[in-house]
Amino acid sequence: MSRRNRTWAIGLAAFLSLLFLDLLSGGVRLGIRETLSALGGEGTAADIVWGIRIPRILSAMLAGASLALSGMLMQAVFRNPLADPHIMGVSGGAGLGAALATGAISGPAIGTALGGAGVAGAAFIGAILSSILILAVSYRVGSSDVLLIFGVMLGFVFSALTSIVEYTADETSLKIFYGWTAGHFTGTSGGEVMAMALAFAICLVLALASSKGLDIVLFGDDYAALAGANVRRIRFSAMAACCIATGAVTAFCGPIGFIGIIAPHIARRLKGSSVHRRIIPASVLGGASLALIADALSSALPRPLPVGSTIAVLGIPMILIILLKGRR
Amino acid sequence: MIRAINIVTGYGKTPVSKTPLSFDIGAGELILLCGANGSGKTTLMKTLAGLIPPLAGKLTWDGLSSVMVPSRIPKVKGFTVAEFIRTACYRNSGWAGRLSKEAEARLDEALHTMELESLRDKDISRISDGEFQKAAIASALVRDSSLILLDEPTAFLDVDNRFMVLEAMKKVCYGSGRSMIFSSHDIGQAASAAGRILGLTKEGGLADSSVTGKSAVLEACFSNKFVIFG
Repeated sequence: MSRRNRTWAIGLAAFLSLLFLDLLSGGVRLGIRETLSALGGEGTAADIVWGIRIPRILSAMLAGASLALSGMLMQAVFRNPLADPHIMGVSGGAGLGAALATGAISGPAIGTALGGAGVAGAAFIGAILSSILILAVSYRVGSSDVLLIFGVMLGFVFSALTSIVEYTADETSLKIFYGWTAGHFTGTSGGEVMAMALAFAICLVLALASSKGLDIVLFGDDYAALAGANVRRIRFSAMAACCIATGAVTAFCGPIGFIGIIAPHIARRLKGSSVHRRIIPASVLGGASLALIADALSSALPRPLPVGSTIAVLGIPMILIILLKGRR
Repeated sequence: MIRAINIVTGYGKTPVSKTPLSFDIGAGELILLCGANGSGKTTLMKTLAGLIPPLAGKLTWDGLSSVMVPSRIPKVKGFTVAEFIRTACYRNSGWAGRLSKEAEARLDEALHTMELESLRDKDISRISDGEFQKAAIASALVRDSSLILLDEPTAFLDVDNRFMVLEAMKKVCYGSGRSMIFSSHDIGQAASAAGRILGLTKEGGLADSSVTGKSAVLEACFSNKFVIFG
């Protein structure tokens, strides 16, 4: 077996084991045999597996893969190894949407009634509106550096506005809002999973279609333009892909960090390459695997932890390792 | 091959060249473009590469297109020499970045000309700056252009690497009939390697060594005195 095939075989095996492991973990204890028979059967166990765990696993995989691809796109466009899907402020826009929704439905009774779905919907609208703003600006701005500053500043403005909204909000809406902020793969509806799948598919197609453009912008905007590439178009399609995928994931699962930064680095390290055509599949698989690990860890405990925070605890040491290795 | 008649270079509406420039470039020429910092060397090269249109005047060329290799290309980790060249051939590759059979054959030939065959599958972050510059020139050869513009190809190179790159450039021009225009601040070595020198002068005009001789061009561009060997 060639080295390339072996890496793939190991990666795929690891992914499938994680998938199985994650299927076994959850609030209700189910054994291996019980879980497997529930896949084809009926009853409480089947309801748990099909109604809770599989949607949760699908959400985790789609979120992980989407964030990994988006992170890869932003790292190429900004030529910055620490760029992540949230760098352009899309998640900030989603957060503001969520905050406004929770703030608007302040009465305790209405708050609980609307709960997660209303917040996710508002977050999705927030993500879309901020994406449109960012994309409109990106088409006018020539320099990637200026665009980066714009994105980061926009994120600050959104988070400041979110704080203002939350400052005046009551206890119930704050609790709902913080539930969204902590990040979760649980409780996503079939429609939400479909929306994330569609967003991921669009992101993947755009990433594959612009893979050679992503390669050439790594050598600088000037270099790319001299080679005949349309830098603005490459950047625009990368940003559109990132906005769509990150917007959907953030709206339905909350702002989840780290996977977007780490997964592309793992992919590049494993493939020993930065050629995007090669690292796109590895990033997708790596991102999905990381999300599965985080999901399994957070739902294996008797009292489930918020997955966003689990990923943060898992991710920070990994980022530090990458940083320290890079400085050596 | 290329004829520039009273061209004014610049960006948008802001001219960079102070006076209109006229010159001819034939086949198989190795031309050093010199001038002080800010004299408009890069702008003139970008104009000749077709990246920015001249603000005035007429620029005509027959033959193939021109290709420009900018200065200070980052050596991005994770690309082999062959992959780097394929990436640079943006216009010649399919959507997945693959080259046609003919272009792959040109790639082999370019690696041979630049003596880079042994480095073909080596990561560009692990080759010397001189070898990387040769890979950049090889990418211009694959793109099948009759005029190659190199912006400071020998900047930041040590003496050995500088010599290696200049020799490779001579080989291309005198062997294949392609022409090269390159800029350099390392006047001594570059001026003796070049067959002709074009200088953007202190007054903002253009001096041509085929009219006045090499030393006169340098004197028109810089305040220091130069002695050119060879």
